[in-house]
Amino acid sequence: MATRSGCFIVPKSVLDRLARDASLKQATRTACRATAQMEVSWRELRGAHGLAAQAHLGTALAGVSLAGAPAITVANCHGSTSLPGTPVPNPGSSTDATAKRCFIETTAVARFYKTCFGRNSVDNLGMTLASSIHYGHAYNNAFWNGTQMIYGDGDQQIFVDFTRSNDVIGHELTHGVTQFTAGLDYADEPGALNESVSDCFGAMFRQWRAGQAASTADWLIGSGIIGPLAAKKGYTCLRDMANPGASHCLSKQPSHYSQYVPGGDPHDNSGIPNHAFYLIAMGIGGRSWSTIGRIWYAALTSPSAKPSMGFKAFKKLTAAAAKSLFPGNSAVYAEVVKGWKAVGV
Amino acid sequence: MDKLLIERKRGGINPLKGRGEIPTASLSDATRAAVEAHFQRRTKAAPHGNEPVYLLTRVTAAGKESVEVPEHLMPAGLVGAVKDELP
Repeated sequence: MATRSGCFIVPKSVLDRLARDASLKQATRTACRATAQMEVSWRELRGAHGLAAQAHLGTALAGVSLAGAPAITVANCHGSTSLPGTPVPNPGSSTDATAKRCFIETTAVARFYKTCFGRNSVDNLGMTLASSIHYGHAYNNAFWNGTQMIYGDGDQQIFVDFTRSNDVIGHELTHGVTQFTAGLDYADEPGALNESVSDCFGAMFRQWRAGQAASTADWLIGSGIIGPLAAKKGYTCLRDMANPGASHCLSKQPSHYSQYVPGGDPHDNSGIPNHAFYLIAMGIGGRSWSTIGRIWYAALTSPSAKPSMGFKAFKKLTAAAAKSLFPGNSAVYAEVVKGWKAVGV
Repeated sequence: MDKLLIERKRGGINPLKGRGEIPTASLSDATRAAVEAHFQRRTKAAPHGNEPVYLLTRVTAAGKESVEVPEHLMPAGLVGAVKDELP
């Protein structure tokens, strides 16, 4: 049975009932029965996986690094939604442009985290960075599923290949970093912070790759994945950290806390901390990753960072980090406070 | 005619809303069984990471009922029916 068959990971009682349902074909009933029998083992496996992840996290917090650099793998789903797909041999020299780009940019993200923040992969223990490409048919999305990255090819109308924006790759891998650090919930203010942190590090990664200062960056997210139909209608990006409510954004966002939507989509409310980050980066000047990046990273990885953390709690952590990381430069602290105040936090 | 509505609610980097619909009669037995299993589920399935979450709504003569299903539990074939809408 394929891993994405609907008879997988559903309650055993339902599988048992479906296995007895005479209105279903015999093959379907047999498959449900077989899956029901596997369910106990599967549950045990998932339990063990959870324990292993917790133990892993505990070791990471102890500051032990077990590997020098993460392995980078790319697998090809060939248009299916079965994961992980077929491994791509030597993806860095693949004739498949998507595989090659995915490998090169994922490797660069790992180097970005190591060079700028001393972090070894998303878990700081050298976890293999696995990506699956060509996921689904004309699939309009990219995401982190808790263990790996998944990229669709886009429908070639609204979106093109999701590996074409390296900030998208940086964004999604940062969801992995967040998972292994603050573990921010994916709803309300923590959810908006979760999305914002991914945008901030995705944008910084793109600037780092281009050697750009904050003042010369465009601060757009996803500008490389906009398809011809969306472009024809005037859209140039998913989001704009400099101008979150601009009409050229596929997703217009609030930029001030007074516009926060309770219970809203994390992708929308993330505009508020995104804009604070932009204002602070511009206020400080220079290269974003060397100053504000270190502050945001310290806040995200602080032992005081909690999954339920809201904007104000994160603001306090960033202000504290600005003071401790740049004790001789009060202007940095002042810009951090000023930036958050400007967005109403 | 009975039908299944599929809406992408959130998740992934794509901020757009996407939707699609499939006549129930055109679903394979396996897909129908998988969909039925989701409607029988008593607890909400948690998404993995920031994977997309879909709202499945079945429309019958008796009315409508909906259930949220994360990407990793979506029956094969249903995700492909979702089309994005430009604002």
